Amino acid sequence: MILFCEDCGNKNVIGPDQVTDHKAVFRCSVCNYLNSVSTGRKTVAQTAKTTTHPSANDCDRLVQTLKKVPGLSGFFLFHTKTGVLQNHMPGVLLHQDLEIIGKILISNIKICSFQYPDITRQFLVIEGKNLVLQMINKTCGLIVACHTFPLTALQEKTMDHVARAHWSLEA
Amino acid sequence: MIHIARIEGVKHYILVDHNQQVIVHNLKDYRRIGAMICFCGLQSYALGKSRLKFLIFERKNHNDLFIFPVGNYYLGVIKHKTIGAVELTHNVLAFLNELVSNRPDKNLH
Repeated sequence: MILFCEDCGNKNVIGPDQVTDHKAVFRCSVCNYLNSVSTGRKTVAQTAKTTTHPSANDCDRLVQTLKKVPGLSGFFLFHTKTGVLQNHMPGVLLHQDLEIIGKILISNIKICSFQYPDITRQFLVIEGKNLVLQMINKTCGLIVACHTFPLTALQEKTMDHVARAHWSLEA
Repeated sequence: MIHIARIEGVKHYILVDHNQQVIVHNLKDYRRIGAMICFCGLQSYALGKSRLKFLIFERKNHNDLFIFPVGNYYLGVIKHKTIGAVELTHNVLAFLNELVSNRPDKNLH
């Protein structure tokens, strides 16, 4: 099983012996942080209490959901500490490009949230392509690239679904 | 530029230059918001360059914040909750295009 460290976001491979009663307790191989992460199919709220970083399962579900949505050029997850987590953007964009995009969009939304704490989403509309940032928790955002503005009904619905599922993690 | 207030859907507006200098506004906390708009505008310009059209921050109360690059300035607009984002952007972009085309020196672009 692959789990991400709550502190540094590094990927850790966890053996079955480290999972007891739907809970994995492991020390991160990079930062040595002691993690205690729920792995079972508990409620979303229960999972939220143990992690602010999307688990590998969450990421997979998110990727599968977004891949089914037509009209998206690509998407990636960006963590404020560890940078790009899941990259499904067109190959023409280098990893460094995505790091810059992620940092800029997240710093924009953070700065504006000081003044307007109810900000939920950011659109960057550039001729021919648009970037949408949807924060999925305090430290992690989903960045989607698409050609159309505004989003189609299905794209909007999917983004809302993603947002709701993850906002409730912090309830 | 003050005519921006008459555009349908515009609740508040603020025009700042690249040095966070507020040129015109109808906001209370204009210094802070001006600095914020300038910061976001400059950051986003780094991504979109001259092809950057606008930036939107959606809010739960639907008074979304829009930032439009206008030459060496950034125009911040807070929309009324009753108007859609597409309609507002259409109205503001039409206003800006008209403004630029009517200026004799056309120094906004």
